[in-house]
Amino acid sequence: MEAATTGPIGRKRLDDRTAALARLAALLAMRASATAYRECVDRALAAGASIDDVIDTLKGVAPVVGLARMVSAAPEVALALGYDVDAALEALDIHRPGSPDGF
Amino acid sequence: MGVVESPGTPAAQFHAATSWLAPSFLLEESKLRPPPPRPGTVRRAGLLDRLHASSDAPVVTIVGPPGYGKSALLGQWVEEGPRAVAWVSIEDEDNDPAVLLAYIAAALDRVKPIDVDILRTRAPPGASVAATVARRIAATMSGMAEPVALVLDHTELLHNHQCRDAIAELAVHVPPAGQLVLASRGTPPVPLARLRAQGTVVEVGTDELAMDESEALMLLDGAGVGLGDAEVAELVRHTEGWPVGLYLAALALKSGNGSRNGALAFSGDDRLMADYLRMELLARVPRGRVSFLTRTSVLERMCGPLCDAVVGGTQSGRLLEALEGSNLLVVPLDRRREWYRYHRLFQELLRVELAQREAGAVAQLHSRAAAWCEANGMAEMAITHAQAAGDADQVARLVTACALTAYAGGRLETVDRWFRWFDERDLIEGYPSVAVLGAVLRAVMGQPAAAERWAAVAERASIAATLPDGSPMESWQAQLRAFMCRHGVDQMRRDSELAGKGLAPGSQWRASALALEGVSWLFDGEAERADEILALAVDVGTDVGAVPATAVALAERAIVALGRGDWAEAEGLAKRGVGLIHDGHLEDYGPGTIVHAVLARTAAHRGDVSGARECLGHAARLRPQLTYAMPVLAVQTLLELARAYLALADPAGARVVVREAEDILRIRPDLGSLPGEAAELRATLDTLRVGSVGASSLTAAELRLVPLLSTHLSFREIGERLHVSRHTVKTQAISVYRKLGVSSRSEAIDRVQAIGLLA
Amino acid sequence: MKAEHEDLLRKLALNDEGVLAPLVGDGVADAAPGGLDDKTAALVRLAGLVAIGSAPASYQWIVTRALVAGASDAEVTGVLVALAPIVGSVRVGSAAPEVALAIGSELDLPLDG
Repeated sequence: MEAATTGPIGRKRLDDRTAALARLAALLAMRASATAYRECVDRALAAGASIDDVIDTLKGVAPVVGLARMVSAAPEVALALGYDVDAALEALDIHRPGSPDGF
Repeated sequence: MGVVESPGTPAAQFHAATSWLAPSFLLEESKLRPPPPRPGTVRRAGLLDRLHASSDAPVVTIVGPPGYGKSALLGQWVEEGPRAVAWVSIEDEDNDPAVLLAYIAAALDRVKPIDVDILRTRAPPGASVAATVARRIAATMSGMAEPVALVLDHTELLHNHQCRDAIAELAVHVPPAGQLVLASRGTPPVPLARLRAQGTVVEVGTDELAMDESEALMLLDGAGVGLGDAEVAELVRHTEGWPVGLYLAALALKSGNGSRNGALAFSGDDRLMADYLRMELLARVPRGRVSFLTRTSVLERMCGPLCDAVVGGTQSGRLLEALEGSNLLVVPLDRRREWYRYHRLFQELLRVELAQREAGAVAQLHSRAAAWCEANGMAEMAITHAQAAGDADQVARLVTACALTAYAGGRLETVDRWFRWFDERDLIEGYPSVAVLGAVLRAVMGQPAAAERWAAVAERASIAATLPDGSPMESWQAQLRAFMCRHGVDQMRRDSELAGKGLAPGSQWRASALALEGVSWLFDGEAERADEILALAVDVGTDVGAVPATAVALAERAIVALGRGDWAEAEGLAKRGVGLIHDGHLEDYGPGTIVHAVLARTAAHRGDVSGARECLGHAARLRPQLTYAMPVLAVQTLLELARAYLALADPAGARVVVREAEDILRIRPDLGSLPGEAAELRATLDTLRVGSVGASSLTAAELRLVPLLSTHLSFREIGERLHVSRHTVKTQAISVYRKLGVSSRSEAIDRVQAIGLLA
Repeated sequence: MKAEHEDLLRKLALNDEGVLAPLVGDGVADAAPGGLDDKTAALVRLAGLVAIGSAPASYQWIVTRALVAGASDAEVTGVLVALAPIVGSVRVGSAAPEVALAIGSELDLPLDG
């Protein structure tokens, strides 16, 4: 950790967490594969990023990468975070305010 | 199916009390109670304890092959149980959601009189009725003062998708303290994996249903057969505890020369059991009686005169009574001992036996049964037998007479089955009256391709026949042509005039013919003349009791009134139309959509936004049924809906219905003033900015998906029901969510209910 | 994961204008920013979506917008034809079924039945 954050000439290098989030932003812009998202998100989380950070990255690049990228990337990033959007859209038992029974 | 009724029999009284059902549709009383306990039946103590202890399980399934005593066990459970039970023994006729629902309603009504209004409305054809049916049953169950258990025996006979889905839906949504108990020979139609995961199902299988030695001993004792412990153990081993096997063995042993050895090695194998039955049981019955048993096994229900007709005898009534008294395989269906049926398993064995002894006679037996049923006013039972006999002439005659009534009663699947029978055998060509009826029914059910096909056959026919309503064939053909308007409105007028002249005074089609004639004058700008004819259509329709056509004619008159700017008159007429539809329980009848469209406009005009939205929601549910098969009515309705959306400042909603109208106009361009009206509306819309794209812009395809979203079905399963891919379902579902402004399926269901898109 | 995150991810996947607008700019929910009429604006955006390759939900969203704004089916498919020389037939080819499904859904045609 120590070595990673300090460069050879004493200037602060980009820390692992930020680097992983930056890579994620690039992947979002490039329309990467599901595997690439997963690896990148795993790395970011391992480097101390929170889920909030990942979501904020997604939101943060939105104005730059545009609507279409957001829509196609959202399920991929979600899956990398362990949330299956497709399944959630199909499932019946997602929270439903104000409805006591199954109907 | 039905039984001959005389006033005063319980079934007749019941029928009178539930006259909301179609007149031709009598509830079979005996299906609503457990089979009567037979003397000597063994009490299944262990299983009963288990069932009693499972009273808080929402779903109980009892699954095992024939002869494992599932019905008897449930009968004992009902007898002993403290809880209220509604019982339905499923039969083949229940493969129609309307019929199944009627029986379940009747069963619940027995426990405590229910509000039949909840259970009477039928769901739109084509849409999934599963959720609607299940929701209504669940609501009725949870509305009852004491928790009720609904028992469905013989669920293996349900093969209709909608009925199976409805049961599955109900299993997932059993109301608190309620219970759904299913007995079946095969896997019951419930999502078992899900129920197991939730721990909401108690399953009783073949292993538990098999009798142990002490139960076998009781059974043999009850049958008057004394065996030693070792012999009983041997018998149980051979039969694997199969109750009916033990029972037949007991009968054989009792008669003195049954084998006590390896000959009894069978268990649930139908073929072996049939052999056994022949060897051990029928061999001891006098020859004449054997042929009575096998020949009458073609009957689902038997009474003396019917059996006489089938076997050609005179003593059948006495014989039936004697059978009931002497052996236990005949079940009485009424207290007067007029109607009987065979124990189900016994009947199946007898049929196998009949096929082996005199296979060639089967058709003739059915034919005699059909003739007797038709002569005795039991047309629908006659249809079943005539089909089995392969007598297409008779089937055609009966179906032509019964179809409209059954359709009006909401039994769409039943009617569909009758027509499919002709289709599957390539027999439509020979029966133009069936083709005409089939075409009209497909058209109003929103199946344009099938309607076209049947109509083409109907038009080719040139048979100078007189139809059941007394009209000549050519008048029916003319009416069909007018209704489907395949050759433009000029031809529609000629056809409707021709039909109007030729149809018999009491014909149900007359009001419809007059209404179409009136509309054709409206297209020519002759509003007064149109109104006169439409008024006549209303009068005639009222006289002959053609409720749907009368409601449509009233809506057409309302459109004429709107043309004059007479909003109050239009609203009054449309309200009369809605009243007729409501009283006739035709809420889901596609052609009636026009009434809601007109009412939406008048409500919007009065500034009653929520009233108008409600009408539009109702119309949206029915919109998938509006196709080019009834182009005039469909386009008129869609354009009225567009005007209503415009009045509510909802251009997005208006555009969707104008597009649907344009799609129909592309196929049927020659529809009088309607193409011009559509173009005018589009021009108006082009000047308007689109606001938000909301629920009003759901398309017909998406509306068709909506009722299925509210079921437990996965996207893949929904795709199977709608004949599209999973990807299509997913994409359309996402579109539905977006238009509804929600992000999950559950929220979508809540939303469509709130805005009236789900009945 | 927090429920609000899940909600956000689902809504993004649905191409929900209400969620996207604050993220990528108000022009999303606004049918026609600038001087273009609604229909042209939707068709132009369809072209953009095809060019970069987008999710089915995005095509469904913009095609609905175009049709509701009065575009004909021919105009929608015309965009695909017009784009082919520029973005290549592969891009257009992968977008075509999704656009067709979007139109089909609006037209009520069983495309893969």
